[in-house]
Order: sequence, then C-alpha cells, then structure tokens
Amino acid sequence: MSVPASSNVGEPLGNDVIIYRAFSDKSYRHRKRNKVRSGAYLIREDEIADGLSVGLTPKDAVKYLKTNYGYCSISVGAVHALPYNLKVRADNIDPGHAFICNLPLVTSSDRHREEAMFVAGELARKSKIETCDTFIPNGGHQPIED
Amino acid sequence: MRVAYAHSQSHPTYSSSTKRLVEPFVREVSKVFGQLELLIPNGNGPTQDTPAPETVDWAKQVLLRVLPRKFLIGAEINAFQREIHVAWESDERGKRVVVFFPGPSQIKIYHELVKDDAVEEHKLVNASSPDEISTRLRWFFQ
Repeated sequence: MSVPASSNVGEPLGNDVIIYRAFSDKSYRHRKRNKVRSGAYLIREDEIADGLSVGLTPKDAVKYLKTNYGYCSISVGAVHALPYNLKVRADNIDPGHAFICNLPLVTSSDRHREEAMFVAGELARKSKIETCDTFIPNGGHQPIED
Repeated sequence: MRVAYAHSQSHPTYSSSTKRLVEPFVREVSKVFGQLELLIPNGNGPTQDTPAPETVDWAKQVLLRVLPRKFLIGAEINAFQREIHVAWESDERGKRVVVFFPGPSQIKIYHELVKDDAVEEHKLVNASSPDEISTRLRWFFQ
C-alpha cells in the first residue's frame, strides 16, 4: 500500500543506531519465553501515514503511552535488512522519536496481510526483550503480574 | 446466530453442531471461548480494536468445529483493528499459525515455517471451512 510520507517523517537513521519499541499491550510480549510477539510490529490504520512509533531511548519509546508493559530493542540495521524497503526515519518534530516506515498494513489486502505477518514475525525474532515490566522513566521498572 | 456451548463432566452439548460431538469439552478449551467473549468490553465503550459481536460469534462457531479440540489449547486470542486473530506459535518446531476472522463468514489462515533462524516457508490462504484450520493445526503439531 503506497501512502505518501507525512511531513513529520525525516531522514533515515544510521544502521548502527539502536531503537526501542514499547509494549502498549501485554500481548506484544511473551513473558515466560522472554520473547517479543509479532503483534508488537503490526501497524494500525491510523499510524500508516507516519509509521510505527519507536524511541531512540527507552524513555522516548514510552513517553506517549498512558501505560506500558515493557519494551524491546532492535538495531536499525536489522530493520533495513528486511524486505519491502523498510526504513527507520527520524521524527522531524521530536528528536528522540522515530518511525519504522513502509510496514505493510494487515487490513488492506491479502498480499499485504501476508507481508505484514512475515515482516512482523521477522522484526519480533530480531528484537531483544529489555523488560516485560512497566517502565517508568526516572522510576525504574515496576513488576506487573500477567 | 448466537452460539451456545457448555462444558460439564458428563454431557457436553453444542447447539451449533448438526451432530452431537463426543469429544470432551475440557476446561482449557473453554478458556479459549471465554477469551473470545472478553473481546467485547463489558461496561467500557468499544476501542479501535473491538470486533463486532457478529465476528465474535462467527469465531466461536468456527473454533467449535476445529477437531480434535485439544488443538485449541494454547491458542492466543487478540483483537486487532476490529478483527480477531487466533495464534499458535512454537519455538521448538519453528512454526506459527495465525487464523484471522476479519468479519463474519471470513477466515484467513497464515502459516510460517522457520529453520535456522530464517523463514523457509510462509503463506496466507482464504479458508472456506473449519476443516482447513484443523488440517493446518495438524501440520503445526507434527
């Protein structure tokens, strides 16, 4: 699905940069297996114009969320190595924030659904769980029961 | 159509079935249907993920017909953009199956095989019956 990039989206980040994806839902990670689940990388219709939200620090990753269930990390190089021309681009408005652009949208067509599932699985496998507990900037981690 | 189901030690009944099924409706299986019901918020308003009640009923009707029922144990159920996603994942077997219920009367099945940390096979199909889910899950549990 071709969607014009919004003016919020800036230049691609370098491959050596580490980005952080916050878990806004418990189902985005598997605590017992210490694994990221593919749902963490499925983009929603209202995010498609900019891209999937990531932070350049854990604090930046969670700052727009009311609550979080931890976060994971992945290198920009690992994202850029995947197909479908995935790019991690800076947020022109917020220097601590970035977007994973060109993710296929599950709900747009069967072809995009298959691509979205494939690429979300790859991103989840290449990500590293940092914590499955609620991350509170300046307050550490707050254990939560699943 | 509302689907009625009940589990008891002695006589499980399935009003949506054309024939009485003799396979027991174990507690772990009923958990799957409980999770489906929880997708409709009780009290709070719907979110951007909340599926229509008709989609929840459709998912129940289909999953009730997946045999053997033990295949349902361990399924992860999530709502996403008004769809229902039911997923099975095994790190040991390197397999993933996701059944999508985008809306009533629709079933899509995605499967993936990972070997040596690389995806060897992946495919999405439009399914026309619960038998196709059972067949794919037989592959998953092999």
